[in-house]
Amino acid sequence: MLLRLTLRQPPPGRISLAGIVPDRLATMSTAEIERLPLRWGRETPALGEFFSVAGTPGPHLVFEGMDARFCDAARGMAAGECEIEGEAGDFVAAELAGGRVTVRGSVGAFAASGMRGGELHVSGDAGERLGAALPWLAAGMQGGRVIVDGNAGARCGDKLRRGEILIGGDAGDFCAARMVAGTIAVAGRAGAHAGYGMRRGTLLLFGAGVALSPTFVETAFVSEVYLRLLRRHWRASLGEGAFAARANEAAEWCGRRWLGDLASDGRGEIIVLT
Amino acid sequence: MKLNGVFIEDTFAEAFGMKAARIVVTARDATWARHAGQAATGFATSVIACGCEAGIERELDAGETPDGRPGVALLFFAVSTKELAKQIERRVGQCILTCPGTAAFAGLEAGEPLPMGKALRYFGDGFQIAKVIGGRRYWRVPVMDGEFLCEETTPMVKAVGGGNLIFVAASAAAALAAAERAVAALRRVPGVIAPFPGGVVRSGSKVGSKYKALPASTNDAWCPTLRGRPASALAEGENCVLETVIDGLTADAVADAMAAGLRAACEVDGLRRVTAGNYGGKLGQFHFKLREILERAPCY
Repeated sequence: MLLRLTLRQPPPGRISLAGIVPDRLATMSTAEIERLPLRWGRETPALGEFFSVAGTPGPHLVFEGMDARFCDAARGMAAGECEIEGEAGDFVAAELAGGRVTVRGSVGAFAASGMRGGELHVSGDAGERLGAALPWLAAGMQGGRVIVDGNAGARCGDKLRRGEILIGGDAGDFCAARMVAGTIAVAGRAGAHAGYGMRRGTLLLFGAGVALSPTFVETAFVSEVYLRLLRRHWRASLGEGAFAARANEAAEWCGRRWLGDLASDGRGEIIVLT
Repeated sequence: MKLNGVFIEDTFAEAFGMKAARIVVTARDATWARHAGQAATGFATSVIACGCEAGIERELDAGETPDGRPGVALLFFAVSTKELAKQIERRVGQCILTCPGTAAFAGLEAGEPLPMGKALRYFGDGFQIAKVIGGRRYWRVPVMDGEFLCEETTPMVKAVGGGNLIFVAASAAAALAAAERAVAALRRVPGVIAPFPGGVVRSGSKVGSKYKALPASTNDAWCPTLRGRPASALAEGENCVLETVIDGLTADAVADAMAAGLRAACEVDGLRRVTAGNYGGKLGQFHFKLREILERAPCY
């Protein structure tokens, strides 16, 4: 059962798609779905104004011809599958609790913010604060997995609490800043201040060396069993993509390890694999 | 009934419900995995005084373990959940955590979780790291050769302990040969261990003793030096008796192992008869009738 929402006309401004998730639409008729109100400032235009609705409501929802001015796509989704063809705006898959979201394009800021489970796969780039906490919250992403085939913007994984963020390209400045736990892996280069204020958690860098703050200290590289488990898990669970290709490139993972940020809790680790 | 000229008594082995867990231990090579496995399953022959019964189920190739290193699968059996949890914490903590290069993983997919790394992580004194990989939680504890990685919990399942075969032979050599063949055969069955030294026990016991403090004492009916007494179960020419005890994750596994052991033992010259230990059928919930288990298709 697949429900297809095809863009009729570009939105006049930033419109929220909050609540347009497969698990909610599954019980509605096509006509009811077309009447669903969207939020555009103080106005509530009907979904049918912007999208034509076709197919059968069920666990599988497809957005075709998306525009980056639509935000909150798949926000709060708990189950099912959501495919987005085209660009998506901010807060894609934010507060995701389960299911799988695939974006064949790029996403805006705060994608996967507050995510608790499920998986987000972005074939393009991600904006700033991917999986990061909103400014007034103590924790960002709290579970699940995010895979970005392209680059991620600044403050990727800020205050990450749990889960995995895997970047196939480069990450912006302050990657893994204030990280509480979880795992971030970057196949390309990380920007300046990687791991700034990191308390715990793991930042894996496959690219060339990174200039770390003096509040990180180099340790022995003896996390063989952990890296073996991680590598086998990724081999088994990642399909194709830029990150998977980079992670599977080397026959053995070896490199250097730093502990930090000692200006904070100091129990995080940055592992640079060569 | 006779098998290869060996008399199979029309009796049964009486076994008991137990709690069990499988732990997979890996190391840099098979030798160190074996060292860890032997230490962790040492002094675990009988729940009477060891707390648990344990053994190395089998050695594992690198392709069979979670981290792709050589390892061993260990089985632990105890009479209660509490005792099994205590034994696992102590044995993993004292024998696997301490062994160079090792890691410990849950070896069963489902069951009531018993703490493993969850308890041992405190050895890390605050420097331990939790990681969730593929939905399973692991603890990385810093130690002097690097890290000890241990899965947070290991599942516990209901199991069967106390399956047994008793080999009555004309000589000590024949009894030992029969027992050795039986143990070699039954160890090919997955999910079982023979917890005594070499899988063989010479001091079969009966419940109770003339001494009040002892819960068990020598099974005098099967002692050849007491043959001829009215209570002796031995006949003329029966000069040595050995037993193998089998614990398994399921009753089927125990039955398959007993069948395999019985068939293998009966190929030894000098073995006079095979019997099994029971308590009249009133204590244990599992009864493995020797003649019935021989009807099972050989599986290994």
